Amino acid sequence: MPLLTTACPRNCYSTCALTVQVEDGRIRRIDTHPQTRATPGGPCLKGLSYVERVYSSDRLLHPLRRTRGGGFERVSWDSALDAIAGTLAAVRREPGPQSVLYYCASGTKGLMNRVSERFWRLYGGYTGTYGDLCWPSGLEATRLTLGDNKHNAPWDLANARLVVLWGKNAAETNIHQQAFIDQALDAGGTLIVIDPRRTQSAERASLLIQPRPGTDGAVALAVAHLLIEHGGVDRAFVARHVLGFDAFAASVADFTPERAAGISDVPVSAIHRLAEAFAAVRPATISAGFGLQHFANSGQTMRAILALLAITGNVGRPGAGWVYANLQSHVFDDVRDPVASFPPAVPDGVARVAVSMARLGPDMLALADPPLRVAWVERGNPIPQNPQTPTVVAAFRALDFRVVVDQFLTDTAREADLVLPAKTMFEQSDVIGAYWHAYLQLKQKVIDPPGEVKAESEIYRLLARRLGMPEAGNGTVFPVSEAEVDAYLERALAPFPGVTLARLRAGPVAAPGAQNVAFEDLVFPTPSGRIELESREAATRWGVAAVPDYVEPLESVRRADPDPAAYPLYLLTPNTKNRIHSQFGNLRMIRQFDDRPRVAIHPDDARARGIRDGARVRVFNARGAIVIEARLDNGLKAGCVAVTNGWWLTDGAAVNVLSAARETDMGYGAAFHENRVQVEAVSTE
Amino acid sequence: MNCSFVFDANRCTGCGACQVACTIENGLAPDVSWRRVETFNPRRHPLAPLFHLSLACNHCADAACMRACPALAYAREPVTLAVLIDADKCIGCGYCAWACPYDAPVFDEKTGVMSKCTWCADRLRAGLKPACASHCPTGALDYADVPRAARVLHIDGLPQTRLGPSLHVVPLKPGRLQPEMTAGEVVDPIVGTPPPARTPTAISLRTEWPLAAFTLVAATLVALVAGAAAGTFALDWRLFAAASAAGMALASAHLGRRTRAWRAVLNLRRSWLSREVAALSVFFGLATWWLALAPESRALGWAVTAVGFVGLVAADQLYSVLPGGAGYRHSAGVTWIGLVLAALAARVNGLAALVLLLQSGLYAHRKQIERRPGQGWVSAVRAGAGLVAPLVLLFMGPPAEGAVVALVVAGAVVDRCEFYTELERESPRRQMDLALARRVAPGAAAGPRFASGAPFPTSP
Repeated sequence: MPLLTTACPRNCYSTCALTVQVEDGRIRRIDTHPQTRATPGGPCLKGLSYVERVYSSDRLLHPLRRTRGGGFERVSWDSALDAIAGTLAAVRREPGPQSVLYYCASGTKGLMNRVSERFWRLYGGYTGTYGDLCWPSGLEATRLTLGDNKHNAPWDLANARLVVLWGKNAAETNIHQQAFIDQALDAGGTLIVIDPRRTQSAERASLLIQPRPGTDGAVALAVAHLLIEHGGVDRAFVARHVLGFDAFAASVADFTPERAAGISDVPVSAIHRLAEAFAAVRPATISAGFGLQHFANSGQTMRAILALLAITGNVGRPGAGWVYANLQSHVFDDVRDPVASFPPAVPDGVARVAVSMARLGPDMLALADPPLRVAWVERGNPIPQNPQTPTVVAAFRALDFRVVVDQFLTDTAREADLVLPAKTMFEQSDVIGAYWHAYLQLKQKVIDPPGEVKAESEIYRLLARRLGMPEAGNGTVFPVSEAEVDAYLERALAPFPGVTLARLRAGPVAAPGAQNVAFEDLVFPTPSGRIELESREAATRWGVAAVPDYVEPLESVRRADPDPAAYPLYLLTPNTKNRIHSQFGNLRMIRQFDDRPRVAIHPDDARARGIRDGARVRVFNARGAIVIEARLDNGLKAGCVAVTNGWWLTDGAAVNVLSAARETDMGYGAAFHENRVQVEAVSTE
Repeated sequence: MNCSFVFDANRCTGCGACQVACTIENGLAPDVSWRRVETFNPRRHPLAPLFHLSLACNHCADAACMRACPALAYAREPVTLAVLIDADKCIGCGYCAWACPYDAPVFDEKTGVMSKCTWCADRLRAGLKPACASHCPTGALDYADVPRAARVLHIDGLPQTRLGPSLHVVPLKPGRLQPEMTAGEVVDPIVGTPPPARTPTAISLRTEWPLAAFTLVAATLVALVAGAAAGTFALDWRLFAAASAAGMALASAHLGRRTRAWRAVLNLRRSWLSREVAALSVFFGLATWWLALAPESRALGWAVTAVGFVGLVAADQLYSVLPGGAGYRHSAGVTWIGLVLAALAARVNGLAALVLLLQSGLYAHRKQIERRPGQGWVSAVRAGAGLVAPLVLLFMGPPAEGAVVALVVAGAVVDRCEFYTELERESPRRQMDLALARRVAPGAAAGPRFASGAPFPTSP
C-alpha cells in the first residue's frame, strides 16, 4: 500500500507531518512522516484517532435542517442551499450585507480558508471578528519586545541547559517538545516548571513554582530585580541589543522577592532559586504557554518574562530564547499575527470587523446599523469555546437564521437552522504552516468525502451560483476539482520557487528564510532595532506602562469585586492531551481515557466544603453554574480548581459557562482565566 | 534474537498513543486495546512521583497463560517467539487472565473468547516493530534486542515474577524523581484511586457465582458418596447423576464458548483447571456407575470418594495462580468443606471436629493477621453458626446430626461467597496501589524524593 504524505491542520504546536495508508479507499493507518525533524516520534493519540473520526457513526454526512420540534431532519443540498441563498439575498437588500456574521475559528488551518472571505466580500460585505481566543496578548508582548514572533527550531531545545516551562504543559499540549526536553535533561540540563498545577510536564522538573494565578509577572519582575542586584545581567548584550534597560531597572528596583512573594504566594527562596538558575545556567530557554496570558494583565506579564531573557543575553543563540510562537512558516500573510487579527484602523466599507472574539456574545447583541440577522459558522464551535457561553447562546438565538458547517453535531451546530456536513482534513488538499516548527506542508487529499459531504469551496461556489455571482464559474475563485485546488495552491506557492506542490507531496519543506536559531543575526524588527524593554507603542496603543509592570488581575481574590467570600476559588480551564479544544472528545478512542468532565480540587478545599472524591458538585459564579464530578488532586495549588476546556454542553459541563467575556490588556485576546468561582456539594435529594 | 519491549518511565507521559496504535493496527473496537497505560500516584501525593507503565503481553519465556489454559489454546509462534492464542480453540473460561500478572489477556464480549497482544507478529516478520512501539511520540516504548541477563524488571507496579517476561524497564532516574513544590503542605492528602477504577477483568462474586455454586455442589456430592461408602445412607444413582449434570452445567455457565467445554480437559499435563475438570468428571461418572451397579462394594465406594477428593484438591490448587494462593489456605477451601461434610456423612465426628477447628484457625488468621474484615453479620454467621455452633454441638453429644450438617453447610456457603469476594488477581494496578501505600505510609523510609536538591549546575 502506498504511503501518502499529509499533515495535521489542527490548532496545535506539533502540526505533525504524517503519512497515511489507504486500503480499499479507507484510511487504514496513520504514522509520522519520516522527513520531519520536529515530530520524529509517532503522532499523538488524537492524530491516530482520525481513523475513527473520519468514519465515526456520529459524523454528519448530509445537510440537516432544524425541525419545529427542535430536532434535525435530513434535507437535500438543493433545498439547503436554496434556503440559504434566499435568506442571504433578502438580508443583503434589507438591512444590508453586514447583517451577516461570518464567524470562523481555528478548527482547520490552510490557504483554502481564504476562499470563504473572498465569497463574503463578493456577496457584498459581512461582519467579522477581531482578536483571537488563543494567544494574542503573548504575541503582542513578543512583537513589542522582539519585533517578531519567531523562535528557534523545536529540536534546538535539546541544546538548552536551563528549560523553564512557564505556564506550559508540553507533555499534554505539545508532546513532541517533551522529547527535546528529555534530551536537554539527559545532557545535564535543568527543568523548572511554573504552573499552579502539578502537571505531567512538572514531574521531571527540579522545581515546581506554583504561583497564585495571574501573578506570574510579579515573580518575573522580582527575578529581574535579583539578576540586576546581584550581577546576573549580561551587560555587553544589554548595551548593544536592549532598549530601555535603565528604565526597566529603575522600575524593578523596589520589586523585591519579598514583595513578589507577598503577591504570588511563591516563597522568597524559590524566587531566589529561579534567579540563581538564570544567573548561573546558560543557555536558557523559556517556553511559555498560552494559559498565563489569559488574564487582563497578561501582556505585561509576558513582557516581564521576556525581559529575563533579554537581560541575561539569552536571545539569538542556540539553546536560548523565547519559545512562544514561531510564525516563520506564515509566509503567505502580508501582515502577520497578531496585527493581522487587529481591527483595521480604517474600515474598508465592505467588511465590518466589529466583533471581539473575547466578547462574542455581548458584541453580537450590541451591533446596530445594521443589527445582525444571520450567522455563518465554520471551523469553530463558539458556544462552548468562547467566553461567557450564556451570552453566546443568547446572541445566536437572537438571530433570524444560522448556518453551521461542521463534521459533528456540536453545541453550536445544535443551535443552527441548517447544518452543512464538513470535509475532514483527508478530503481536500491544502497547504498549511505551523507555529512551533517552520515547515510548510501539504495537507493532502487522500480519500473522497463520504456521503454527501462537500468541501467549503464547493459549498460557496454553489451559493455563488444561486446568488448570481459572475465568479461562480471561476475555478480560481472557488476551486473545487482536484485540478482547480492544485492550481490554486500552486499560485499561492509561486512566490517561493523552492516550494512546489511536487516537493510538498514528498514531505515537509522548511519555509523560505526560516532560521533555526531565531534572531541569530541579532536584528530585531522593532522601531529601535533593539529588544525593547521600554516600548512606546505599548504605552500608546494599549495604554499600559512603557516598561513591563505588575497589575493585580481583575478577578484576583485580593479585589473586592467579585466578593472573595462568595467566590474564593480561581477556575483554571487548561487544555488536555485528549482534545484540541472542543474537537476529538466525542470519539470512543478518546473517551476511554476521559469520559466525563471533572473538576480537580485540592483535598483541603474539598474537605472544607464536605466534598468527597467523586461527588457531584456545583461550580458557580454570577455568570453561570455547572454540575460536575469532583476529583481530588493533591498537586493542585490550594485555592485553585481546574476543569479541562473543550467539553460540550451535551457532555454536561462547558467551562465557558463560567468565564467572562473580557479582553486582555493587549492584542485583543480573551482573559478566560480571570474567573473566580465557588464550589459546593450537590445534595443527593 | 532476544527481543523484548523496552519501556522507559523517564520518557513516558501517559499519553495513550500506544494503546490507540494497538487498537488501530489490530482492528479492535475503538475503546478496546491489548495494551494499557497505568499511572502510579494518579492523585499526585506529595511524597511520591507520578509515572506511568505501558504494558501489554510480555510474551514470557514461561508463559503463565499457556500453562493455565485448560484448552491448549495458547502456543508459541516459532519465528517471533510470540505467545499467541488461537481463537478457534479458546473456550472463554478466563483462567489465563487469572494467571497472567500483567493483565494481558482480555475477554472479547463479541466473540466470547479471550484475545491478547500478538506482538504484531505479522509486523515482526516483515521486519517492523510492533505498532505500539513504533508509534510512541516520546520514544518511551520500544522493541529491541536486550539480553535476558541485562533486563531490568524492578519498578513499582510491575509484578515481580519468574515467568521471564520479554520486557526491560528503565525506572525513574534519581535525577528525575519529582519536583520540589512551592505550594504548601496538603493537610489531608488523597492516596490512590478509589474503586471503581479497577481492572476490567476483576474477580467478584457477581461474575463468579456459578463457580461458587459448582464447587459447593461438588464438595457436597463427594461427601454424599463418602456417606454412602460408609453405609450411613443409601444414595439413588439417578438423583446423583442429575445433581452431577446440574453441577457441570453450572460450571460451564461462565464459559464464553459452552459448545467447546470438552476442550477443558486437554491440558492435564500443566493446568490445574484441566485436572479439576477431569478428576471431577471421572468422579461423577464413576460414582454414578458405582451407585447404579455395585453399591454394595464399600471398597469401590471409598476409591470413588478418593477420586472425588483429587478433584476437590485440584479445585483448590486452581487458585494458586492468584496472589491469595491455593484455595486450601482459606477456611472456605473446597477440600475442607468436602472433608468436614464427608466426615459428618460417614459419622466420623472426631475428624469433622478436627477440620472445623482447622477452618476456625484459618478464618481467624485471615480476619486478624491478614486484616480482611468483612461485614460484621457475615462473620457472625460464618464463625458463630458455621464453626462454633457445630463444634459445640459435636462436643456436647449426643450430636444432633441434622442440625450440625445444616449449620456447617450454611457456614460453608457464607464462607465460600466471602472467598470469591476476597479473590484478587495479580495486576500492575494492584501492585501500584500497594507500592504507593507503602511509600506514603507514615514512617516510611524517606528515600531521595526530589529530582535534584538545590544548587543548580553551573554551565560548562
